[in-house]
Amino acid sequence: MHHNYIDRYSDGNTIIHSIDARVKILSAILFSIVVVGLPRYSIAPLIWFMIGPFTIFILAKIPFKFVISRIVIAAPFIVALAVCYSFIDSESRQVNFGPWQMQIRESLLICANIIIKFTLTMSALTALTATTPFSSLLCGLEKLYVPRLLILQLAILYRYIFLLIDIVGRYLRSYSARSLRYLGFKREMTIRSAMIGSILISSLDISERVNLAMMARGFDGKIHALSQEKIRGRDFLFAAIVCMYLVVLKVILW
Amino acid sequence: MTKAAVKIKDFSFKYPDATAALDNINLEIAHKERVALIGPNGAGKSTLLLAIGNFLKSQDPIEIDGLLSTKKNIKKIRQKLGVLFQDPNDQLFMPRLFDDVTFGPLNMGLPKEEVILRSREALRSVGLLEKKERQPHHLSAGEKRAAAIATVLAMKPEIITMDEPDSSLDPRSQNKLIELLNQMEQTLIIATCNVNFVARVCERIVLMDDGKIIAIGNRKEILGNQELMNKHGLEVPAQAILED
Repeated sequence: MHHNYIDRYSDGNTIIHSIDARVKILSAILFSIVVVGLPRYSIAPLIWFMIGPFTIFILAKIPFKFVISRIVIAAPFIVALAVCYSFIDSESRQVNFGPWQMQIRESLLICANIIIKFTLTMSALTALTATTPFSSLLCGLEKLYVPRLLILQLAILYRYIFLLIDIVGRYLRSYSARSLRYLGFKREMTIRSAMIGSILISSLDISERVNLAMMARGFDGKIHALSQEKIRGRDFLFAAIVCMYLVVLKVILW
Repeated sequence: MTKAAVKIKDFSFKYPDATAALDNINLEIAHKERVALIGPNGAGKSTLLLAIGNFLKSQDPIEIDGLLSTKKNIKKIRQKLGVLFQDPNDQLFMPRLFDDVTFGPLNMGLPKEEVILRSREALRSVGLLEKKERQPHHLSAGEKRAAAIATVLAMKPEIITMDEPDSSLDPRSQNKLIELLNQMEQTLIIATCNVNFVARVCERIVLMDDGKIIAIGNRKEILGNQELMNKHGLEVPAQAILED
């Protein structure tokens, strides 16, 4: 079955794809920290931060439709949180949009600020995951001293999420093949609850079988990895460009 | 006296709900032998493979190349015995095929150069070296099966157990698998219901039903015995395959 997986475009051969995973991870983290650390009432200056991720999308030939779909998937929780903020009663504040000046309620400014910051950090994360194969990402995390147990969990999660999606797909197809009419809310909910229960049991079965397969190949709780990647000149150059870009924006805009 | 690859004596196993899964199993398999465990569903074939793989908690020990299946010997046994599970998805749990193949050799504590060499060799032998960077969920069913075999081969075990290796494979993939198995030099223990498949791979057949061994013999003796096969819910393979 074909899935809409997060590193679908990671097999590209652009300059961005060839940058070491560690450099990309650190750049994405640094970018996110700088963005999150910006004042909570600033709106217009944040737009300048869009240039970075979007330059990467263009250089790495990542379709904008894919980027937007990633952001939209993660959006509901943050948007709900931000919208809640907008209902808080607060004073108005003068905001400059180039030559124009407007009086906007502080709560609305915070709401917009949260949504823009979220879009920026999600763009950075998407730029990272869309241009780095998941295995290289894990290798990079390992070299950055992220605990190996966490890395193994991520690796298995990434693999098994697709199997679980397959199971859910099979259940839904089987249900729709025999579901000829609406059975009423209560009955439909009972059926869906039973399906969720079966999916949970299936996932437990999978985890048990995976555990057996791991033990059969000598797994004793310790994780051994094979990482050979080395940082090259172009990686240093990329890191320097990212740092300069963030410093320049910080200095010019504030 | 040479040690048997697998030696099982008076082995019984009950599940926690007291269901008897294996009853008084006696079986000896020589090195380099290819043995098929056949029988209807629920005969105990997969459970016997789990017992051989030292995955069941039982008081009755099994000998693997002279080593008793005790906790103390488990690491040595894991190196001698490779296990191929029924669903290759269970065996391919890493994000990249190459990581999956290196998983076993790395756990064996081999040097990195040796791990890479063995893994490449294992992938080449199953024809998947060019797909080593692929994510396992992008492989076809036949490729997944071959990849799962590569994960075992990379550990260079002397004995390999396989649970229904032919399941969900189309005829072309089955033929490829048979070709691959026939090239392998290890002791093979294959559990399956597909008599046409085992007739083309294994010389010795163990017929199981209801947790017991019913008959042991060469493939013509067992697979050619229509009465015996029908009695235990199996069919006789095509004559041409038996005489091949």
